[in-house]
Amino acid sequence: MIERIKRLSHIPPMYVTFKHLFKPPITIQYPEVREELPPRYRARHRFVIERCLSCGACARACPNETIRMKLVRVDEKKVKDRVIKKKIQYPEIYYGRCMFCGLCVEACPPKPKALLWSNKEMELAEYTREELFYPYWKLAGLSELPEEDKQ
Amino acid sequence: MLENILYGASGVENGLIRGIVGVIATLLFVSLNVLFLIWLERKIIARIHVRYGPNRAGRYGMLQPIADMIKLLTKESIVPKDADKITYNTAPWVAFLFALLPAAAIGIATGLISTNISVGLLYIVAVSSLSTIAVIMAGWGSNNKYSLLGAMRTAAQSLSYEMPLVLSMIGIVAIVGSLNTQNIVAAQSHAWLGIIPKWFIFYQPLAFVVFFSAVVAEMGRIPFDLQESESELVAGFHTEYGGMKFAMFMFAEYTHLVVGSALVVTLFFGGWYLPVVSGIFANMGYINYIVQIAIFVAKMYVIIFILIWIRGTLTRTRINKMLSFGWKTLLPLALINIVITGVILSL
Amino acid sequence: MDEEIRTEEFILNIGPQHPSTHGVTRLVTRLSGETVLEIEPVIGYLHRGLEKIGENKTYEKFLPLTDRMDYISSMTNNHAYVLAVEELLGIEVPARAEYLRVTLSELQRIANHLMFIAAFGADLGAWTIMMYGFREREMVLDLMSMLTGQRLLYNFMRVGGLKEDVPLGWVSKVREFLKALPEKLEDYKAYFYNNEIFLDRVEGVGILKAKDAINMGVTGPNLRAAGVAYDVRKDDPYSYYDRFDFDVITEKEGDTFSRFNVRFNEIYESLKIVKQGIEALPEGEVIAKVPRIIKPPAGEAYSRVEAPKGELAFYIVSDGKTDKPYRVKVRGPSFCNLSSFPYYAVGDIIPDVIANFASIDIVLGEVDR
Repeated sequence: MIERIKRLSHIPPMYVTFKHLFKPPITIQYPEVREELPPRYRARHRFVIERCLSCGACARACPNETIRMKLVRVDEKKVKDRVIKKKIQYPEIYYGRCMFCGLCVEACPPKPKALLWSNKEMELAEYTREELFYPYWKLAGLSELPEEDKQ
Repeated sequence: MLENILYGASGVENGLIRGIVGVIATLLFVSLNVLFLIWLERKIIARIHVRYGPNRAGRYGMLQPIADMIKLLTKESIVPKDADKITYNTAPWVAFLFALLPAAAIGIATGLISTNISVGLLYIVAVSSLSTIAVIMAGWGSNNKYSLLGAMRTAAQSLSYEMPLVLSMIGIVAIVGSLNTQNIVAAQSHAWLGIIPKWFIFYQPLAFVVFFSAVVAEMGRIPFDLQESESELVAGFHTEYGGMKFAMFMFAEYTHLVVGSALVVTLFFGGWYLPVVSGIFANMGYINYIVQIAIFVAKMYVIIFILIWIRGTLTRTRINKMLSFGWKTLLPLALINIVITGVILSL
Repeated sequence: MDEEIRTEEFILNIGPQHPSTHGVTRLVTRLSGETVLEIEPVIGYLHRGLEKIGENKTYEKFLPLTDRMDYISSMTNNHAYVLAVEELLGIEVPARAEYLRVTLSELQRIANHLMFIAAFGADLGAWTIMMYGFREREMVLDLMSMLTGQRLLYNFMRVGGLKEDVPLGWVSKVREFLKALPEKLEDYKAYFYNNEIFLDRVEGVGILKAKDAINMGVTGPNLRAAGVAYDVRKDDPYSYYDRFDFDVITEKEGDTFSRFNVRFNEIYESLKIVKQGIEALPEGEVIAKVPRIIKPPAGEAYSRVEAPKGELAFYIVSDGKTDKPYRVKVRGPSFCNLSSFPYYAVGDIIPDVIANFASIDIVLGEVDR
């Protein structure tokens, strides 16, 4: 009988919502307040030029063929009496196709990795499709193509 | 002059001026309340949802309804292909008009009433059921199956809830012996021991339950918002409406809320009387009016808060359960209430 | 009045754009007034050909795509897929990885069921429950994003184990969550079980009988709600589920309310498993020695897991020559549950069909694949 009255009166559900009326809102007021994302968060790639081995493991690991290796320059190194030409190639990412699976970062062989995740830049929206294309220097956080690679 | 306007009985030579002032005042009162209500409802629902609600336009987002209005008014007016143009276009105005009409016979202070007709309650009941026509017009006119289903539901709903609504008032009418809203409020102006008010909710608790349920159903709010029922019929009868016409429907809906809660206050909560406060200000002329309006509006907002709170809590009922609730529960209860009232009165 | 009142049946398309289709499906309903005479679900609006894509990608590269099937519970999708590949390769998974897999699958189940409650509330018109459900689910998502780096599509399991070990402080976060959630669930109990309008909406609606459910291949909570205690975790234990102590929740009626009830009570069972999982977590590696290029010998493997929505299975054939599967077949629970839906929803009125449809808890990403 008491159960029946409880059901019909709807007092318990009304009490639940009334309780919540006085709780502070849990919304994060986004542009003003930003959530601190966990360190592992896959927001956008970060590329450290000096660590890159130019191996292309990231491009091979990518399921969507988002990453392409861009030939930047050819370094000539003298080993003993021979000149060894070394192709320097860096990854470039088209974010329009990226699905943020993280296989590229996992595949990166050097330790510490040359391609890693940043948990800070989670705002990925751009105005045009072209802006979604990230050359290696943009991934590395540089504002333009470095001097030495301009030829 | 002002006394004449306020108290002006029918037949006085300034009847026309009084009528115009009454219409404008009613419109103003209702519109201001609606604008505030849109904000209030969104804010309270948001707090129940542990959100902030509108907080960008103006202080605490108070200007949000105005921003919404501007947005809706500047939108393109679209008429769907194969719609019944006349019906489609007039439905929002009809809804708006019929939502506003009952407000004319509800006073917010002694004598402060648009048209003080002797059959006030009868008039209110008569015109409030007319708003169903607007919904059916919208549902039929927009040539959309969802709209049509929504309209049909409204018709069924209106038919089954109009009866208990009217019957639950009869007890009060029998006690007061008048259909005039002023008289009904005046009958509740006394108090036991000077503090416990003689409101009709204490005389007629059963009628209150019936009346309140029926009013919620008439307003078309959760748990009885079957005419719109978003998750089933997309937006029910106003699926095809946008811009200005949609704004009219929204306005009509909130007007129903204002008028409905004003009616509840008038009938069951003593209108503009509070036991102690009313006595203090009784002979202070215009200050008395202001106090009475304040008391009335405050009571109205308590009812509105409860309605918003219900909306923030409950789920929607089923259409068949809702109809059977109207016919099999509310109607017998209302009849029982009439019998009990009659027996007690005749003793 | 010798003229008869004539009524017509009419066709109503519920969807593909509709507030309660949970994605993009279309229910072509034939109505007589409010009564539904016939329902035909039209699917394929989200078809991406995942099974075919699987045949053109290497085993590792297909893994992130399995996330995208049932995107509400991507961890269990990963789980089912890696189990199949491991069976092909014959890899033994380290104990720590297995315990974590079970724990994560159960956390995923909690997230999925909270999402179900939220969506169910929204479909019945209670937006408040929608908000509360999402708020509670956020706690699981926070745990997941701390562990895996994403909130929804984790791509965390690997053939032979897991991507990486748990970060510092994660286990204590899980313990906090295990304490916090039951308190929040009390509100749900108070809300749902004392709510005449809600109970009236769901009790006795859309009854699916046990016999029909078995015949039509319904699995998961929908089957258990009909009274069949079938749970892959108990009946064909994978990972380390046989080492955990939990109950299979069943109900008798098989109506919408039972389906809700089963899911609601499964949250408590999942909490129990998560608790045992983090208590018994052994030390050690989280990934076994796996060859750099996965090239399984010729053969076939069938793995099945109890996904939150039902039995999810992967059937993979390898020809032994390439590093790509020869054939990938997915047996998705949502697809089977949806295909049986028209048979027991017919004859109800529209509100009941909506409540019923919400209660079978489908995800269109998995129906269409």
